[in-house]
Amino acid sequence: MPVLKVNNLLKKFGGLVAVNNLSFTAEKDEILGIIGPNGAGKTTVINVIAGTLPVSGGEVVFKDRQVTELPAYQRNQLGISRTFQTVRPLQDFTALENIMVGALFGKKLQLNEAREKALKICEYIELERHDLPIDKLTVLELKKIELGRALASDPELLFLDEIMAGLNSEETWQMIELIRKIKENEVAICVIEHVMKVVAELTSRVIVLDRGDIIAQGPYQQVSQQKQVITAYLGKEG
Amino acid sequence: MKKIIFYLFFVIMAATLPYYAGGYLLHVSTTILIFMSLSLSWDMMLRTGQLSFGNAGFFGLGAYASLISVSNLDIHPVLSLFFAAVFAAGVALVVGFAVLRLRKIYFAITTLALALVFEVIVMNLSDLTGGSSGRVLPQAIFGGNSVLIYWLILFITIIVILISELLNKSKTHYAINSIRNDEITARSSGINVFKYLVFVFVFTSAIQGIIGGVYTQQYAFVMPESTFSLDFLLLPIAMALVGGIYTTMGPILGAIFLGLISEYLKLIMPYGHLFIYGLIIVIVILFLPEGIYKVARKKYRNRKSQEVKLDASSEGK
Repeated sequence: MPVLKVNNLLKKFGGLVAVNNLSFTAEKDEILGIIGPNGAGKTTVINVIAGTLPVSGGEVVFKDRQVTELPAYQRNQLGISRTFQTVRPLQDFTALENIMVGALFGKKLQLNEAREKALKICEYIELERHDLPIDKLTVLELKKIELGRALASDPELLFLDEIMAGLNSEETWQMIELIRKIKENEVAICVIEHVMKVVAELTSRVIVLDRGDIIAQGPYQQVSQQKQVITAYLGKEG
Repeated sequence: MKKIIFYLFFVIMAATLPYYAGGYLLHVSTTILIFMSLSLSWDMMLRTGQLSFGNAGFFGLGAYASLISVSNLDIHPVLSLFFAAVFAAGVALVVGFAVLRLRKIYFAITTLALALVFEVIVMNLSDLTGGSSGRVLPQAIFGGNSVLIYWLILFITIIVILISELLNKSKTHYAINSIRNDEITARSSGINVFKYLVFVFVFTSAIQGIIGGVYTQQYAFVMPESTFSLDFLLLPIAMALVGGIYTTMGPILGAIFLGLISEYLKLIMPYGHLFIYGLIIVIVILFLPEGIYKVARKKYRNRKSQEVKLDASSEGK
């Protein structure tokens, strides 16, 4: 049974169709990649599934339950978590408190339970300087906070929106190892990624979007050879 | 432990004030406490990131609710304060469902309009409210005994301070702080943003309602012009800004500081004191934008950490 089932998902911004009748599934124990050129609608897909934006049509089914009309906070409580492309930490909190927020409200824990859980997560994601305010942290640490907060609600479906952006190659490897470790806990993971090396390394299957449509899907090695994918990324020849 | 003794000391000092202070100082203190509660209630709403100008409106509603319940329903004046709170909270709940969908400047300007709307309604229900000339009660609460009035207001203020402290230590603190920092992150982290905004809006309005009620009972008098006056809107805001927002101590210090200055200025220059008063507010906000409390706290912490460093370096030798 797929964790996530998306049927004929449609999202319009005025006259612009950002996501055009998209259908796909995501299973646990897999890492699904969503790739495509800039403006293909990748982040919009996440926004619509996580409830940050309302749909224009179609349905989102999570664990056999219709969540299409539910607000974002309820979807998070049910088990859909996400990170943001540009990190959005809560500035007035320490790193640990940022992660606690996910446990407090996504998982509905009490303060002391949430603190314990957040400490465990810090250990799990190897975030040592968790008692510092946000403006003292590095990019990698901020990305880890995003990830930690998303993990604190014990998600079964996790969206990672360009979590590698801004990391150097060593940090990227750390993050890849971490995401693999998360996958072992029976979490369905969807990654949006621009770095193809990461996509090749991490994903078991990819969906290629172009202007809101799926133009190809399958294992990355296979998809990356397809002509329409190369055209979408590089433009038509001649 | 040290902290508790510290607080206890101040509570005892404040509670025994009538025994060593004269009538004038007692009156000034009563006014300061009223503004302190209003300032704290405004600050608690601001902690959600929503700048409300509705405080004078709910203050006024509470004032009228309290007066009408005493004179028309013959309720005991102290009991009428509960009535004021419930009434203000009820109205806040109803209008909150509409205005709390707005954000930032739109929310601020709508709450400002709310206060004006309340005033117009009150002016036009002249049978009940006395219209624009207002209404008078046969006598003030406790027969006008200023010591008892002071104790009642002190009691209410202490409760408001405790609420503010509890709020900053509760789960709700994490919710509203997240909402203020980044609403989209808050929503994606399982926070029911609307529920928390309504909750804080309702209980801060209830506090403003109680204070309005107590103020009315103190003077046995309501009038639209003075009850919905800008004083109850702008002074509490200025106090919180001067003292330091998002904290309990900030509005407390701000209310004491500005309250005392305003009284002193009134004494030394009966005319034009408001000009100097405004100037002081501007100067403090320009040079201490974080407020008195946060600047003092930072200085104290810096000095402490320097002492620790000095200790460490002297041990090194």
